[in-house]
Amino acid sequence: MAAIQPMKTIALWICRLLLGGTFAYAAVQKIAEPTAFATDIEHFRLLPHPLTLALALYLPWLELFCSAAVLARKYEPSALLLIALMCGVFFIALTSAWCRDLDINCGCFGHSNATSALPWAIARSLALGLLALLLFKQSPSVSSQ
Amino acid sequence: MTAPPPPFCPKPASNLFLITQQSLPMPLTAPTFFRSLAAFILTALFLPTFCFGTLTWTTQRIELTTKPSEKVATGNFHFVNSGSETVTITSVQASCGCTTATLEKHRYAPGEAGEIKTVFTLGDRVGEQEKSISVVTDESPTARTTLLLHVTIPELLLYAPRLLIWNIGDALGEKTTVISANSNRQIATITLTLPLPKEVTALLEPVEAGMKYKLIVRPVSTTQVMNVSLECVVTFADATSQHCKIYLLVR
Amino acid sequence: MTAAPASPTRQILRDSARLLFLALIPAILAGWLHPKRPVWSWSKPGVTEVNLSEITRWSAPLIWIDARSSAAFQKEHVPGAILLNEDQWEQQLPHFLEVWQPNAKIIVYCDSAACDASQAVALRLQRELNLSSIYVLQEGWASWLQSNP
Repeated sequence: MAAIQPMKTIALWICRLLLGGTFAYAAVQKIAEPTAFATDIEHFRLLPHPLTLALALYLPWLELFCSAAVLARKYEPSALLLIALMCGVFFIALTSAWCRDLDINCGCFGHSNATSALPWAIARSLALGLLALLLFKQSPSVSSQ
Repeated sequence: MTAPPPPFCPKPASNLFLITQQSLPMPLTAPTFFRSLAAFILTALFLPTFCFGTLTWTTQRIELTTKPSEKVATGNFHFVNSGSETVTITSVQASCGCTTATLEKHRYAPGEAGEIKTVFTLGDRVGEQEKSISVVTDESPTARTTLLLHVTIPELLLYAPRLLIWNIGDALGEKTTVISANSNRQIATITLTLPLPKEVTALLEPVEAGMKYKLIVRPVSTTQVMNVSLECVVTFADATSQHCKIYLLVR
Repeated sequence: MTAAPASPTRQILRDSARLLFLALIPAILAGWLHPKRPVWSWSKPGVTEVNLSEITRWSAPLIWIDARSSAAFQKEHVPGAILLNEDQWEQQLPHFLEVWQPNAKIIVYCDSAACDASQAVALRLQRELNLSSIYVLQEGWASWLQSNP
């Protein structure tokens, strides 16, 4: 088992960089344009108006802090769990939008990079969520339990 | 040296190579490694769908402010095919009939640049307008790129309000609307177009010379339905002029 | 809960709370100072949207406004609807005022949920003419076609 450790370590680091990098990138895009992001959330028609505004201001910062925590390996299990939770919420929101046949932007990476294809966004949120859960299970304080 | 290294500390590459060689059958006994690899591949597959589209845009948002005389606003979105294969733009669609988006051609070789010309016919629109253009390529037929044309059409005159209403049987009271210059343009003259409709009497008074005027209107009768309008001509300090129109109803 | 000490779980929860709280600070600052911060309001800016089943329950007289292009209007429209779009606002507005009544409810529609012309026309009627009782038809002409095939 000891022999496989370095490969596993590298693979985990790649996953960490991928997850942290994606979330950091997404967060920065949305932090730059909170109003546009609020409009994108509004289009999902899931939340009352004041909540969409609050979420548009808060969510990108939570994404940024979680990605920073993952990359810096501080509070890592918590950050991974929160990321997995966010991905779960994104997955539900996107799937509901897709089922309701809404013609909207995902809003995932801010408005300027408005590339919209809901099935892809759904698959992506699922993949990122699973990745976060997997890293969570691998994190020292959890696996040592 | 006795303490084990932290789990995230990478070992020297030569060591790693050696271990990989030795441990070929080992992954079967380490399913977590495979799982992380699978998750990595899964995510890597999805990544190109959002950040590495082959068309690279100089900008995806253009902001314009129109001049009073302009009838259309045009914006050109430039792109370059930064990929290694020819890209075909399969669809370019504007969010409203008032905006057209045209392409010189549809196929772009690697390294080739092109542009999407958008023309937004202003019509009688005023204020902030945002029109979007969806672009789809054969690279990813399910994903589209949205280009935004944000146009500010200055409103030269503001009315508060533009419609005055009396109810049938109301007392013959006067009603007032305020016409004011928007932005920094000064009003040089404002005159009511004559003759006035015979159903009303009207009076124009300055509130703040050059900026704000009030129009006081009184109907001759409110016993029956009325639908008339008052027109005026406003000349600004820079010699441009603008028509104004106020609607008067008895209902 | 396992028999193992609960401290890792508690630690995770505590750190999660820390992260949730940390993110709150810049979020509040952004809401206060960000140059592109959203404008605060309790209700969604824009004109109230209604669906067809709600409208059928109304007893007030209705004035339908078609905010689509004149070509689309000429092809087909809600019976009795008036054409009023921002392409030819000045030219079409007098016709709307001819039929307007104080007790009528005004319903504006455009193509579908994706179009914004109905909101634009409804907002302009509110702002420019100071009229009330203006609504936007949810999903627009598409929803009309669905219930009146």
